[in-house]
Amino acid sequence: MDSSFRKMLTRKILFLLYLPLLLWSCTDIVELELPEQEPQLVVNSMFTPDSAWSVDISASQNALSNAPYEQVQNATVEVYQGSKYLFNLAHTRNGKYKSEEALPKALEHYTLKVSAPGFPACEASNFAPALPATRALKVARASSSIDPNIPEAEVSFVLDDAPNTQNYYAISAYFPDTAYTGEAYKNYVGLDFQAPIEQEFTMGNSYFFSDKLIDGKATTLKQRYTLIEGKTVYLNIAQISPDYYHYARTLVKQSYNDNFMTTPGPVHNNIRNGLGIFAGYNTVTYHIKH
Amino acid sequence: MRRLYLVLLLALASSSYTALAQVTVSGFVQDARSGERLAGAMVSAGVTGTTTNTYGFYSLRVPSGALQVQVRYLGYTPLSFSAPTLRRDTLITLQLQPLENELREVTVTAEKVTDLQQANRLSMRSAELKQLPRLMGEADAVKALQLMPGVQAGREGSSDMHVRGGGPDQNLILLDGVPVYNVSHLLGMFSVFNPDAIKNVDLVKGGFPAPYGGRLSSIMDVQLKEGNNQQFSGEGAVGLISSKLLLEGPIRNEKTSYLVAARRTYLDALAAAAAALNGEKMSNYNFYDINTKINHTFSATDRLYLSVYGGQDKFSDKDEYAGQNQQEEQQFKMRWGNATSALRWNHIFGPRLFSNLTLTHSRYSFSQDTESSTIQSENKTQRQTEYSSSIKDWGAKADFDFAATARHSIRFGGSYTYHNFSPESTTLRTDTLTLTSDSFSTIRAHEFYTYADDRLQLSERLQATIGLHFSGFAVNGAFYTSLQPRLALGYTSAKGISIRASYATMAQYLHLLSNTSTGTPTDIWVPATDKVKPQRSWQTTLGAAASLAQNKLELTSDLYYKEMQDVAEFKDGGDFIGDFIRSGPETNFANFAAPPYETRIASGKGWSYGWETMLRKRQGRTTGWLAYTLAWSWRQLDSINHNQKYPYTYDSRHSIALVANHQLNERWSLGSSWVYRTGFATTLPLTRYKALEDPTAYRPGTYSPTIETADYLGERNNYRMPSYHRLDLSLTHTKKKNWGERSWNLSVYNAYNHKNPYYLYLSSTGSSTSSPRRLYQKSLFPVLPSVSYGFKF
Repeated sequence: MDSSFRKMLTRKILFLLYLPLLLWSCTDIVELELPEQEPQLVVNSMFTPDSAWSVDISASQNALSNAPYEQVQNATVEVYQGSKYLFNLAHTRNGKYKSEEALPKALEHYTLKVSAPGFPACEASNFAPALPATRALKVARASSSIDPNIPEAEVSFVLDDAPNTQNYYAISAYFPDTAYTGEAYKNYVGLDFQAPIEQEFTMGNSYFFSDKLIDGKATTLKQRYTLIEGKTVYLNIAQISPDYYHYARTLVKQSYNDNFMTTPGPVHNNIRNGLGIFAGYNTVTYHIKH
Repeated sequence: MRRLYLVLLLALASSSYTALAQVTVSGFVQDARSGERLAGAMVSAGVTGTTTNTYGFYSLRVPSGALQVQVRYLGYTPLSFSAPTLRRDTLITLQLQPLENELREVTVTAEKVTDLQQANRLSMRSAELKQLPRLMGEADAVKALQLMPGVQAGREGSSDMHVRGGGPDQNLILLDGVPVYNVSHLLGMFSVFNPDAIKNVDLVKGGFPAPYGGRLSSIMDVQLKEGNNQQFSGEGAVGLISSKLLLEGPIRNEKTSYLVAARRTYLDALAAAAAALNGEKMSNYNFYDINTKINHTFSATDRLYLSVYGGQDKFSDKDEYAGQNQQEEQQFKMRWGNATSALRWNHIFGPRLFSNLTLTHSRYSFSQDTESSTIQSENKTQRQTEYSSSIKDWGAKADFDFAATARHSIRFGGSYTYHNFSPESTTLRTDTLTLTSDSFSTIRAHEFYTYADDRLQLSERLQATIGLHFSGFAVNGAFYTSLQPRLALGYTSAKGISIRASYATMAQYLHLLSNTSTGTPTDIWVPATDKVKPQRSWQTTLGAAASLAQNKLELTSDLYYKEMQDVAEFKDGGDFIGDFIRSGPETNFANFAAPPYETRIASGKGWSYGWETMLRKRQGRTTGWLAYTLAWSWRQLDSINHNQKYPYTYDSRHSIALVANHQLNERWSLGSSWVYRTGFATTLPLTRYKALEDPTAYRPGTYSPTIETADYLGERNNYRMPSYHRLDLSLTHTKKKNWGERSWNLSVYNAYNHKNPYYLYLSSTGSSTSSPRRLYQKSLFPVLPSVSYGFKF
């Protein structure tokens, strides 16, 4: 279902729901105070076997505050493998804590313990899944269904989903670019999912889906993107931990909830006694030269 | 004879001469002018008394001999009738004359407030609800009940009722005995009940008599007029956004009568006119409803009624776009509505046994149809999406009233309903593809109940009702049963103060799933299944009632406690419409976007308790009531709010309603109502925090929408909206004409323009400190004057 169609449907349904509001409503700014909440540690960290540990630590604030987030620079960040202490992460700059050389391992369960003066201590546990089992990558030239003059690349590969477990994936694609300011950056391309499944949601330029429809099966997945002649496109296929999937899903849902009558939903949080996300992923990257 | 009127005395030699010196006097109480049978009229003979049942039937066991019968009913001249010496069972139809001039202070109470049958029951006649100020010129039965103690309205303007802390799905709403599943027109601004066609509205909110079941919190019984069997008459009204007309009269003779009432809004015509004026296309909306009823009296003991209701809301919109290389057209249609019908046969087996057999059908359906077509480079592509949801019932029930002795009145009966649920069906058609998905396949279920109760007059002061209600539900191989005891006890002191207590258990085999916090047509009814249990509750009440000031005033006061098990809601973040919209055409909607509802809901318990009191005056120049409710309502559902208890969304600690109507003279009358309630509970984020940085979002020189902030919601319903209060006023001028009567009604809704909270929201987070985040309140109705013209002939 293309996005314009979805938007149109959304607009119509919400129009009906809002009909009385459109007829008579008025909006007032009300000077209401929210009760003060004690700040908590906010821990945001994604880890993967091919990158060093990196943790961002900040403080939560009143919902009405618009001040920049306070980055916590004096925290103690300990990494455990199971119950075994491994090492502390060092503060590098502005609330970022990193390891020097140590890399996470796939399928190992790690625990992060964070404490800082003035905040309740918190901790979280997670793991990086195995590399996604992909094979038989094929790239073919195609043309856009909207405009035959626009060339597209159709990428297909087989994903062997592991049976009897709930697996989650995220796909993104980019090519290195410097076109805007001369600074090197990753220029992410929009992906058009083909049958048999669509993405369930997107966050940023990542496309998320679960194995609900392909559980335990070998499935050929196809994506299309606008062909960029002469560029190398990097296709990232990541298997992500359930916590990361649920965090991204609920964060997107909370942020883009356009139905005022729906009770707002909480964002998934796996930090005990704190807020944020500590989750692992594991990525296969294909280089596609055009 | 202006005050007392006795038209018909029909004696049937229906039983043998009684050697026990006890005879039964039975029959109907009816309106002398229209032949309408009157439910709830008090009939007494000496120390023995009873009230007419829903069909206007009474039965009294009295000593043989001379008899003095008294009949009282609100709005009618009391009847005192001296019967000749009775030596056998006798059938007497009693006709009451409507009060010509209600300005007189007449101390007639309709249903004696101290009677045990009136405990936990709110009653309203058509004339009473028409006295209330009107929203957009339309009197409304549901809006009137929302002013009563123990009944919370939902969001402003809605037709939801939250009775004693229960949910809107926990009210069994009956139209002439047939369940109605969605009572809202225009998203609740009007209910589906045409006030002109209504005879009585009763709301039972606790101490449920044994004949009632199927919902946890209340029974709203809307009885329509039967049709005037004496003369042709009609009434109607023209309002700002809708008009209505009712016609009734006899067919050939007074044995057969009919009633037809229709109502339609002309918002669509107004929108079309506005569109023509400003040259822009506008959306199209309208609703209508039609009530028809016909009844025939075959004999003094047999009467047949056929009652049919149909109503529908329609919304449509069309967008067109024509560019240089592309043309697009999109059409959107949404419709929802109810249809009900009842075929009812009243039969009197004998002076002591009355029966009512009813065949019923009820249907509620919602559908949505979206079509889009695009023409590009001479290629045309089309897409159509259809979505529908429906529930259909067919049923039969039998009710019997048996006057066993002077002290025992027994009711018994049973019912069977065949349910056909189609909660969701989606079809997608494109040029190359047709996909149909019944994500919840059609579910067929069988529901039945049987009941019996005995209303005992234990002594002159002590009354009791002891009953049992047994129900069952068969669905998908699962079979649920529920044995529900119903007990009520009342004691009336020498000073006329009645103390009453009750205990009742209820079971409900349906759930209403809603992704919104107010009733919308997209809500879907689903049955209990082998995976989702039925809802169950028990409630106990303790109260007192008294008639004051020579019976001019009624005072009631009740304490209640209610527990509900296996109430269900969508899990946090559930977004039924959103899931549907976000699902793709190639996606198996059934398995992916909308998995079986059993997996999408959270179940748990709820409990509520409180105190209600009401002082009411129902007759005279000034009528109205003052009601106060102190209430608490809680929920605790698995996987919601970390499994901890939280206040129900419509929990409101204090509620006050002051309703007053005053007849200035024969032509002018004033009406007013003022309501106050503590704000409802809502969920607001109390804390915000930094979201995970999205590594794929960065792109120098461009704006990439990224999520920088997450809101921590804390506990569910953690914030109280500001208090709600509103004053409504009305002024009515009535004038007799040679053809009948006409009236002008001027109503002002929210007279002092208080901006009541409809919902609260926080503005989006931004990175600029120059636009601080604010808490906003959305209000719905400002001061809304309306005028309507009514006529009667």
